[in-house]
Amino acid sequence: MNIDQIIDSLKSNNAFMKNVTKWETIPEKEGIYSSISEDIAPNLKDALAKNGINELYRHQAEAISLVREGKNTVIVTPTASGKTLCYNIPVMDTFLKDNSMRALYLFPTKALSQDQLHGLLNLNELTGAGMKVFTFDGDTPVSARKAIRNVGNIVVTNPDMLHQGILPNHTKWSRLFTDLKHVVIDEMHQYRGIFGSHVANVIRRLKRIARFYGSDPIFILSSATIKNPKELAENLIEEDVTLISKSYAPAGEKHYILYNPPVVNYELGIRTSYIKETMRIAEHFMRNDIKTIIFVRTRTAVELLTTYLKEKAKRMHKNPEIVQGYRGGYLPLERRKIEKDLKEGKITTVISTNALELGIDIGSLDVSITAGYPGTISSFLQQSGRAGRRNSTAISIIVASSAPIDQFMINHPDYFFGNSPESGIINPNNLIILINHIKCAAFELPFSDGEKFGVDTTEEILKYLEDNGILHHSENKWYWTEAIYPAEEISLRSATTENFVIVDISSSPNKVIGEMDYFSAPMLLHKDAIYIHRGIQYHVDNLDWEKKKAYVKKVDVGYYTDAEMKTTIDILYEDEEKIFGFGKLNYGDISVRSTPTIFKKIKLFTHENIGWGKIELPELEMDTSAVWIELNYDHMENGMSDDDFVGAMKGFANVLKNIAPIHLMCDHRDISVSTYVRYPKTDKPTIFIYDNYPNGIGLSRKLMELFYDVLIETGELITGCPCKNGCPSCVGPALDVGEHGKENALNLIKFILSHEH
Amino acid sequence: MNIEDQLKRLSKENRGENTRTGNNFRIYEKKYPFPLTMGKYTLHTTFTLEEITKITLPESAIIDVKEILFFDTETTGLSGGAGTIPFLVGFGYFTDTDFTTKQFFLESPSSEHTMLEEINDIISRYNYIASYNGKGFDTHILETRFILNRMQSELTDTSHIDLLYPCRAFLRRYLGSASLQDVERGILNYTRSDDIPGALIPYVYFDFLKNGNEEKINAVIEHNRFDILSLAFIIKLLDDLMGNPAESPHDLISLSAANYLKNKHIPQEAKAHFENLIRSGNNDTLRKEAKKNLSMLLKREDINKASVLWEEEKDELYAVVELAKYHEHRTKQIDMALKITNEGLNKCRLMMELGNDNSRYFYDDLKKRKRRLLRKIKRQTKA
Ligand SMILES: [Zn+2]
Repeated sequence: MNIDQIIDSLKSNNAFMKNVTKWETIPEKEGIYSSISEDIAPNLKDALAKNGINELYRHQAEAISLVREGKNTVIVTPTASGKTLCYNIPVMDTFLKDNSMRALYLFPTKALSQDQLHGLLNLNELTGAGMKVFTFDGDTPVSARKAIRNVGNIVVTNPDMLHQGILPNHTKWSRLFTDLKHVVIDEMHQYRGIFGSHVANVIRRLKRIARFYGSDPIFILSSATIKNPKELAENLIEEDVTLISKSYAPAGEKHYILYNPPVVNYELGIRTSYIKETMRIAEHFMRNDIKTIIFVRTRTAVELLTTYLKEKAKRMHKNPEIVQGYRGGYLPLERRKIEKDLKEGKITTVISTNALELGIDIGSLDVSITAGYPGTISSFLQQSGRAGRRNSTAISIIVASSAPIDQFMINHPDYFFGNSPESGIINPNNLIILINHIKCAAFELPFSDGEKFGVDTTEEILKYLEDNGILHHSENKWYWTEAIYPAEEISLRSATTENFVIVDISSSPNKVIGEMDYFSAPMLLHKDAIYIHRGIQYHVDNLDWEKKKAYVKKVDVGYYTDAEMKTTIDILYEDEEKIFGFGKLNYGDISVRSTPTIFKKIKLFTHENIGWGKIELPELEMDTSAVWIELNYDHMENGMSDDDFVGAMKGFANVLKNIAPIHLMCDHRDISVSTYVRYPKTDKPTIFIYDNYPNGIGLSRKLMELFYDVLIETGELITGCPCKNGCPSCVGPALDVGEHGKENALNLIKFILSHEH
Repeated sequence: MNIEDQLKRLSKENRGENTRTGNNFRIYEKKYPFPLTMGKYTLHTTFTLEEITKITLPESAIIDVKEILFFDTETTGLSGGAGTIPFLVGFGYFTDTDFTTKQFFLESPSSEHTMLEEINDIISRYNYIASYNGKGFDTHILETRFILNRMQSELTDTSHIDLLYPCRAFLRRYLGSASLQDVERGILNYTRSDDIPGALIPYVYFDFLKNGNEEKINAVIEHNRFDILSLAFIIKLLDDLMGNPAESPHDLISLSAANYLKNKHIPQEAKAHFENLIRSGNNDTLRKEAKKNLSMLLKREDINKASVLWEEEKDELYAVVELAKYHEHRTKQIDMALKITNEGLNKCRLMMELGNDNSRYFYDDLKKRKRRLLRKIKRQTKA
């Protein structure tokens, strides 16, 4: 069967169709074109013509003319709408008119920059003008670095390399900075949360160094669809940015299928496993040799599906090698090989984590299956963008898991088709992040008295650093006085610098198989945890907290582990208070002390709890920002017992924790929710929602604005769930929240909403 | 011991002379009149250099040592990068009567611009600069400072003799290291007393900035002055070593020098060193290595001379192979070549039985050779 026949067969398959909550067909779309501006360099025009480009899509023409007017521009159009030309054309045009031009291209990951280079190189070759384009990253041989610094017109790199390699050595890059005309920031939506907050500071440093060399580059940003692209772009570069958001590119027919696995137990609200459903759907495409990519949320799921589908391929008498897994944690070489085989068609079915969702060119695929909501709409749209190009029909399927957010999203199809609720949020002034980058900036160039870096209180931070012996103030300047290189110790990808190293002691010699960040380690690498890497289960024999090492051994067991934390919260400072009829909404700083307590052993596939153990690890303490809801609610008056109320609060918190990330565009692990039936200081029922990072990254602050939107959706999620008394898809199972947990949580939400707001 | 304790132990008195202060940087000047001595070496007058430039500069030249400005920096870190400050830049130069050191010390990083002007001024008066690893480190640091102060650096266009590379080449095998202080200790026979460990130097400076601690900074200034002084001796020592193989303090140094010169394609000097070592060396292993390397050098220019060495070294498999080649291709004595090849094969077998795996390579080579020789003989007999 070809793809159109498969669509027909799916449509006539009742067993399949009864689980489809929405089938949206986006008809084939004609492009709308504009002519290429008269004053674009003639050899660039010729080169474009040789690539079959005689006209531009209207949005490309608009973006190019904005950039050429010197305006910072952010382009937010779908995959395959020719975003790269929006920056490549003005950059190359500038070069063709002035050969001294330099530009910096920033991509969030290495693999991406390797690949995005091809189009640019091709165009460059066709112009024959000899513009020098180089990738500069950790893989660049030392012997080539000097030449790249001296002659590279376009330097393609990532924020990490800019942070650790280029900016601290800017004098070696003086030519780049002196003639820097454009800075391209692709995949801008990736720069949110911790990473984005860091990157905003790296850009502050970049602009500061560019100023030193007398340049003032134009920024060109591109992003997947989010709710606030202009805001995020402006927060990242701290300048005005013009938005281009409508695509005029043509597109082939596209079928979006929202698939919700059937409920098998109404009492408990249990649905069939979304992984199994995904497998069955994928099998169908594999049988017909339809090129399919399957995105799953976890590394474990990648391995699970890969194993299953390889087995299936064998039974279909196909070479099992057509099925391959791909995820972060594989070695770069392994990944490159898979990318290559995928492009060459040696692989027809690939199972990936989000690592592949970025714009890596792996050739066009026919079908994308997203198993489990990937956390953000923009992720989903990028994943589905992997299927289909201009002239072919393509299918994108999302299979909901029973997680509350999946259940919520599968029932809000409008979110998938152009109404993204997601805001990219950063907090460049997170004190820890800011101080770290002020250190880096001071290393790069002494601060002058009165100089501002992001915040008006820059001087106070400089004084603080001087008090700690890190800077020395002399004649209006602040000099770096440490023997170390600050950028080396600061990772843009995490809030802390300390990672745990995972050592496999069952291999000989012992092998380091991976790393994990400081705050995840206690939950995932505690003694006796089952850690899964490349589909292999490892038992954690020992976690050496001091040395930041986890020693693991290969095992083969039928369960995984899930750890629980005990959390205590102290309010440090109240920044903002809003008084409502239901009580109060506050924003401020809190201190969170948490200790991992126990872990549960949970049987694979059935998710039965089959045992537990104690975790003995030190308490972690973190200051962060939070919103908290203080309720004037007397549960006794409202007919709830103490136990009922505990359950109601817990249920409310569970749903909140799942709805908030939809708006905050973050992982559910980026925020935490803790409840107190009676918060000791106030004696009031209180719910804390806080950023799961030291000093906060702006997530909970945004919740002050979005509180009612989130609350209303919280209610919708609970009422929309088909279960009777609560299930893991909404408030949590009755076992956890009590027999009337669902009803009680809903009543609590209704109580808040019943008051004027 | 922690850094603070180490710092405490480092209080020393100021041994600098002619200290002059100005514009928040200081100049320390000290003259060492001839004759000046370091360990077992003494310099009585200025001198010319004829050899060392052959391996340190793109074009060899005969230069008067007075044309050279010696320099070394002390910095706030070793990582390089824009935030590393060279807070002490020391120079040294010969006059007719002495060796003078002149050190620029930043009392405050804010005076860097003025200091760099002085540095440019002094460099511009010399045709050459000499350093120890200056190409790899100090010049990068200084160039960065010039850029940060928006100045042109005189360093860029001055020929640079970096003594690290010849020291490494000549001395590392003998000393086991080529650090400046190991060279002083092992070759000059000079040991510094109370020298400050390099790793502490940045912290001494930070302590000076914060607390104005003069005593410890003097130790750094002295350390830097000795570094420069050593350079003046080492450059002479290396030049002598290259020019007079017989003066070499140790066979291993002769051999290292010879090998290095051979690889650098400076054959006359290389030959002189090999021959000297073969003639008067004390260590047989080294003499054998010298013979082997010399024979390979001669092979290109006078193979008959080389063959004499191979005959002498006929116990060595490489020599057997070379002799077999020599007779096969040059003297055309195929029978002789075959005889040598057979002897070699027997020797290889024996050695392989004794567990020497290296012989395998020669064995394979000789076997191939034997087959070819036999074919040749067959053809000759037919003809
Ligand atoms: Zn439910």
